[in-house]
Amino acid sequence: MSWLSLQGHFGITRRAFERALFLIPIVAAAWKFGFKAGLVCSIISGLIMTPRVIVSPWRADATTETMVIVIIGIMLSWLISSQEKERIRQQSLTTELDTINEKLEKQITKHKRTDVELARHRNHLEELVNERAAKLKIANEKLQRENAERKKAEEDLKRAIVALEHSNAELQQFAYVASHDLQEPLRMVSSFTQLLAKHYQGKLDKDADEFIDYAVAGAKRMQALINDLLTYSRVDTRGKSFEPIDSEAAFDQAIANLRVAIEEGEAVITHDPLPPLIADDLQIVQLFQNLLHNAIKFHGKEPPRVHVSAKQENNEWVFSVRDNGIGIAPEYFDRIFVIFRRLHSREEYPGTGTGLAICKKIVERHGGRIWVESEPSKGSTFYFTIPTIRR
Amino acid sequence: MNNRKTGKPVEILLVEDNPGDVRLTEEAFKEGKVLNKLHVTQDGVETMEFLRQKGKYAKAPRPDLILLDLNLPEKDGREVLAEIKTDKDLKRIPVVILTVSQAEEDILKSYNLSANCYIVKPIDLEQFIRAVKLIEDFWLTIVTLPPNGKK
Repeated sequence: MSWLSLQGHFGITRRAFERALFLIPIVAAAWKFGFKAGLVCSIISGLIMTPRVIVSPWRADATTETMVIVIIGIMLSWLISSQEKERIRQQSLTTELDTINEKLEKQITKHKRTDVELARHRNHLEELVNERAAKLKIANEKLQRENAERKKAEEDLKRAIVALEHSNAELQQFAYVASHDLQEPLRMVSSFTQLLAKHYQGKLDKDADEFIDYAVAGAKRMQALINDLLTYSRVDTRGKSFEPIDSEAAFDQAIANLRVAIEEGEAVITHDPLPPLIADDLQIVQLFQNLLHNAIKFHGKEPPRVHVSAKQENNEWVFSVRDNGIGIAPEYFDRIFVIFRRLHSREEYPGTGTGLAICKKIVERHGGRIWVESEPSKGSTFYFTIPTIRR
Repeated sequence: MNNRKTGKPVEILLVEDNPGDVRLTEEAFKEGKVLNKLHVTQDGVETMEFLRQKGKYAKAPRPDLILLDLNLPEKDGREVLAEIKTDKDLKRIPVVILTVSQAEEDILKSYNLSANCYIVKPIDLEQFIRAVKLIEDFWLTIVTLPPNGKK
């Protein structure tokens, strides 16, 4: 190769190298700022190179070189910018994907946690259900056991009631028969001791008279007791069926029966209007009579004043018999209704101790209650109830 | 009264199985004003023999009044009453039921069988004596009885 050609070759190469340097800012601009920047840089590069073309316009290769550089610049710009755009797009896509992924993962984690929790809940629920079921089973068994026990108890109760009714009936029959059959021999004892007294009082010695007196008194008392026992047992055995009655008429009858006691005791008996009842009228007469008789008998220093009234409460009539008598201490409120229980000596107040027991039996037969409110020396009020509706 | 006019005692038949009651009734009649003769039979069979003058009672008088207890051994008072009141000779004799029974069925049955009255024996001696005296007073002095004899 000749020097000239070598120099010529070298010169072309150097120029090409110089021109190629323009590509660097173009590529940088395109890479950094996109295709438009690359385009602008290519045009600017072309303009910068233009003076050289103008300086040596004869040099056709210079023009060509410039054109080539500008075109290559534009192409590179386009290529790089589009590449960069794509990269950025890819990057943003990746970022987006990452975000979605992250979100998804979070979601999944959350789901997993929820699942775990759910499983835990389910397990717990199962445990609870099992536990509940076990408890239910135990309760059920207990219930069944209790049911069986209750059934047995009910049967026992039924049997006991039957036995009780039987024994009650027997007892009533016994009380009735005993008192009835006891009357006969007792009548003999009583009658003949009285005859003895009648015929021989004062004709024997003093001791004989005393003995006869005691015999007569004892027989009379026994007779009174048996009589009252008979009355007591008759409340159930000889009671009449319940019918509509006028309790005021029953009250009037009781007053008539007590006429002597009322006159002797100078008793004043008053009453409010008394209601119609569904009851055994003879027993209601007896009930009033016993209560009024007690009110007169247990009087204080004043002559007896007795007031009877009635008021309706729910499904029953509450009667009250209030007196101004000696009263009763609270500790005896129950005892007075027990048959043959007495609070006073016979010398103080005669009687057998059956009056209130009979009252209680009559009231209970009618499905009512009887009680007393009292204070010693401040009078007593006896209350009893009679249901308005018959069951 | 025919009996008092003639001075003939009133014949009373007491049908009672309890000697105590018999004695008490006797005591009560002793206090009575009317001259009377108390006969006693203790059961139904004996009573019918007395009334029909059979056996040992062949010479028994026909009673003017019968006091009849209901509870008797063997033939009881209800049967005796039925028999008396269906016998055409005996049915005119007044029969006073004197018993301890207060049972309604006894009272009804006795009147249905034409008892002339029904008296529950008072338990108390004084009242018993009073009742017997009243029976005597009523039936033997107030009431006009049918002529004594078979018609």
